[in-house]
Formats: sequence, structure tokens, C-alpha cells
Amino acid sequence: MRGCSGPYQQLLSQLQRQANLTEDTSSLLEPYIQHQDLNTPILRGSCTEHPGAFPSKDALRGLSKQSFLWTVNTTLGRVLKGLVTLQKQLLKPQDLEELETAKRNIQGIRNNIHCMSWLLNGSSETVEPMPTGPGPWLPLTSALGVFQAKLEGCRFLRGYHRFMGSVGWVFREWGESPSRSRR
Amino acid sequence: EYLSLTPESLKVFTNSACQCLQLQWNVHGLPYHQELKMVFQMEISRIRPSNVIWVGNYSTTVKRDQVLHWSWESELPLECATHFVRIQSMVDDAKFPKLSIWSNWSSWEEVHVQDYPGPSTLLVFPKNKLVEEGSSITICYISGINHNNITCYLHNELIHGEQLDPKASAFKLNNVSFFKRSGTNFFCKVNQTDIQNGTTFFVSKVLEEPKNFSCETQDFETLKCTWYPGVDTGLDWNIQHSQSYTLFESFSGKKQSCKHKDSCDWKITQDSQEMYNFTLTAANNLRKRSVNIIFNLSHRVHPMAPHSVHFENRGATTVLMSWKVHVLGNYLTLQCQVELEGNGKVIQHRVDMKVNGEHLFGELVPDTQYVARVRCANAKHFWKWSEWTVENFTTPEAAPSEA
Repeated sequence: MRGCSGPYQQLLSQLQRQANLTEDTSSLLEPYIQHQDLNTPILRGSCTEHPGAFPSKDALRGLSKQSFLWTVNTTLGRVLKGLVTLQKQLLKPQDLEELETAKRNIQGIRNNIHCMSWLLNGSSETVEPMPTGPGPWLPLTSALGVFQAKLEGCRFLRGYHRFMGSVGWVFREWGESPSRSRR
Repeated sequence: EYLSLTPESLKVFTNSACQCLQLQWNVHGLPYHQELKMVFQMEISRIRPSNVIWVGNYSTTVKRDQVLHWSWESELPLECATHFVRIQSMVDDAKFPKLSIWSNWSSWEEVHVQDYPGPSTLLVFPKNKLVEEGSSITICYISGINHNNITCYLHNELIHGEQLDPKASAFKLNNVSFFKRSGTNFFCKVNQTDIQNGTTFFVSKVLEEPKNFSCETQDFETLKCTWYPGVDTGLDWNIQHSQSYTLFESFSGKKQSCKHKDSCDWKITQDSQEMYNFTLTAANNLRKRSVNIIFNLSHRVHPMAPHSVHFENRGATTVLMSWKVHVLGNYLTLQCQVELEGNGKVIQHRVDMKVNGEHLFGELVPDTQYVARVRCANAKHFWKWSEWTVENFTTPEAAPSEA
């Protein structure tokens, strides 16, 4: 497939690295907390992931490789929309450059996921789409007020980082070859 | 004789965004089928009718059966207290001195904006308020929880308020300053619970008057206006965009929005006038600032740099330098400054021209590199020099003298 290069093992370790990068809250959540002035114990305490916003680790671990790739790709598609929403709330996007960086990283992960899915297509696994909950979304500011919208943005990013941690975990469980798995 | 013109059908509408009470009423039974000068007195109470917080008058001319309007802005968000309004009137017309007696008060109009808070409710107001740096803002909460169990924070620091009634407290912040584009968070928490709520208010920097506003033309086709915008008063969350700039030219009556925050191009039409009276207005959600200049177009010519510079040798020590300029208007006369640098000396000359310019330099040193520079300006009404155009040339070697 055009743009897909490298053997399975190289692609897998790249995906693992990318997941580790995006799991790190200092890459986006922390700068967001600073920018929105949420840096207090009370407000940090309110910045918790909405249950069901992102697939849990156990749910991801229970999927076939193809379903897992499909679920991660779909979820990251929604995350991209969420990041665009957060960016629109800024007067100048460059005030929170980490948002743009995160969007590029996510695009990179999704490209690699397409390649991995193409690579695995040789294997017999079928894609059973994961039953998805409401998925990560961000309410319109006008419905909430800016203060609550800030907290919602924070919860959204909290969930995103946790989700990427779980994705990285699952990738680390994948075996050295497309058909084998450590689980 | 005495006539009671008590205001009737008093209705009070609320506007939470501006925290305004909008009154509407009328006066029945106006005599003499003509307009009457009247003064109306309003009383506004908070929490209970007896707690009058504001009294004021409003004078106007009233026609028969006219519906009257008047608005009052509350410093306290309307959600945080019940308000009461009543009104009385008096004829204030020299034609009818005898009628100058206060009428009865209308009945109190009670104004509720927010439902009574439940036992575990904590609501903070106003939402997304925008104020200008240096002004005041009052934030309040209503809650069914005992206010001793509620702690509030501004900028993440503890802040104490004034209790309005058992279910409402207010926090007056004076002389607020700009903190962040993303706003200032004010939030409250119920001790030992997860119940918390808050609001973000936005302090806009004060819009500055544009400085060094000036316009010039390089081609008599476009006027380029520039200015120094001062601080950007834009804020996040689409609360307030960066200030906008518009140009208005009063002789032509034309108006134009400017795409950039520090410059604007204005089309010079063929039939257009010689004199220009420009008003540049900066505006944001809170304020407008304008500056004005009047000028004659030909007094604001900033020519483009000369071009097509050529050198024609006339022997080893003489050179004819020529150049062209972009045609300006109906062949405006330009004065050009020509400089020749070489052999450790700088020679300067002034040359008047319209389209083609030239100058003969003599007494040069053979076989020597020279740097020639030329720039031009409006000869009649100087405004600015053009940029320099710089070219090098070398004089030929002198011919061998006959032995």
C-alpha cells in the first residue's frame, strides 16, 4: 500500500513509541491546564475522565487486532474533532501550539494504523466493530458557560491521554509476528 | 384641580447578559389630548420590597396611550436576588403647574430570574461576563447549602464575600485587571463534597486610540493608510475578537473595513477628490476609538524607487547617468537626489524631472569603480523620499597620451 513501508516489527515499535508519546500528559493536558488557569487542587480534582468517553483498557484488550485497530482509528478521528473544537476556543492557535502538535501526532498514528491494518489483512482475523458509547465529544460552550467548558476540555484531554496509555499497553502485548500475541 | 396619573400596566423584562431590568408602562387618562412633560420616579428593591437599593427619575414627554420604556442595569447578576420595582409619576409641564403632584405608586412588580436553589445546588453567576480593565464586577452564587460550608476562590486564591440572604452571597471585585486571554476563573466548592461550580469572566485591556495614523500614495491609484494599533484586546472563547478597524472618508461618504490591524488600502477613483478627510475607528465589544486626518492627495506622494538606471561613458572621466520613474498622476514633477561615491569622495546633485532623469558627472578618475545612488520625492509638496536605487559602474582606462 502506497506510503506504507517497513516490516511488521518496525511498524509495531513505531506505534508503541507514538502511543507512549501521546500518553504523556505534559504533551497536551498540562499546557491546557496552565493556559485555562485550572492549576489548582480543586479544579484538577474535577478534571477526571468521563466514564465511557473513551474505550477502557480491558475493552481494548478483548478485541481482535483488526477490531482494535479499527476502534483506535475511529476514536482518534473523534479526538481530532475535539482538538479542533479546543483550538477554535483560542483567539490565536499559537497560544497553545501543543494542540497542533497533538493533531499531527494523531494523524501520524492513524497513518501507521492504516499500514498495520493493511499488513495484517493477510491474517484471517475479522473486524468486529467495538460497540461504542457516546465517544469523546465536547459540548458547545454556549450550552455550558466557559468555566464548565474549560473543565469539559480538561476531562476530554484526561481521557485522551489515558486512552493512549491503554493503546500503548495493548501494542506492547502484540507478539513479534502478525499472527502471534503475548496474551 | 388635582389629577392622578398613576403609571399602569407596569411590566418588567430581564436581560441576564446585560443584567438589565427593562420596564414598560403607560399612563392612562391624559387630559387635553396633547403631549405632557412628565417625570417618573422608579424605586428598585432587592430581596424584599422594603430593602430599596436604587431610586431615580426619568423625564420625558408623554402622548396619550403611549407605552413608555426605561432600563436599569444591576451590578448584581439578576439571578442572585429577587428584585422589586415600582414607579410613580408627576406632570412636569409649565403649562399645567397645578398638576405637579406625585401620583400614587404603582404596585410592586416582583422579578424572579432564577429558580430557588435546591438543597445540593450551587450556581455561580454571571456566565462569561466581559468587562474592561479597571472596572468592577460583582460575582455571586446561590445555593441551598449553608454558606458556611461553601468556599470560593479567585485566581485560585481564597476569597470572602458578602451574604445577601441565607441562599445567596456576592463578591464585589473592584478595579479588575487583565489576567489572561483565557479569562479569570472564579469558583466555589462545598466543603467535604465534590459539589463545585464556577464562572469565568473576561477582563479586556482598554482599547487604545490608533497612533501615527497616516496615508500616502505611490501611484495615485491607491492610498495606503497605516497606524500603530496598540494592544490587541482580543480574548479567547470567542468572547471578544481582536479590535476591528474601519476607514470613513467624509467628502466621498465612503466607508471601508480594514483587513489588517495596522494598514488599509483605499482605492483612488478617477473622479475622486483632491482633499481627503479620513476617520479611522477602532472598535471592540466595549468601546470605540477614532482618529482623524485631513490632507491633500498631492501632499502625500511617496514615489516608488527610480528604475532603469543606465550609464553612458563620455570618455574616461565623464559619465551620463540616466534613470526613469513610475508615472505619477498627470506627470507630477519630482526632485531627485543623485549621489556618486568613489575615489574616497561623495558627489551630490539635485535634478528635477517628470518621467526621465539624467545627470552628467565630470572630472571622474579613470579606471575607478563608482557607486551611484538616486532617489526622488515630490518637488512641489515634499512628503517622503523614495527608496534609493543603487548601481555600480567603473570608468574606462584613460587613453595612452601621445608620445
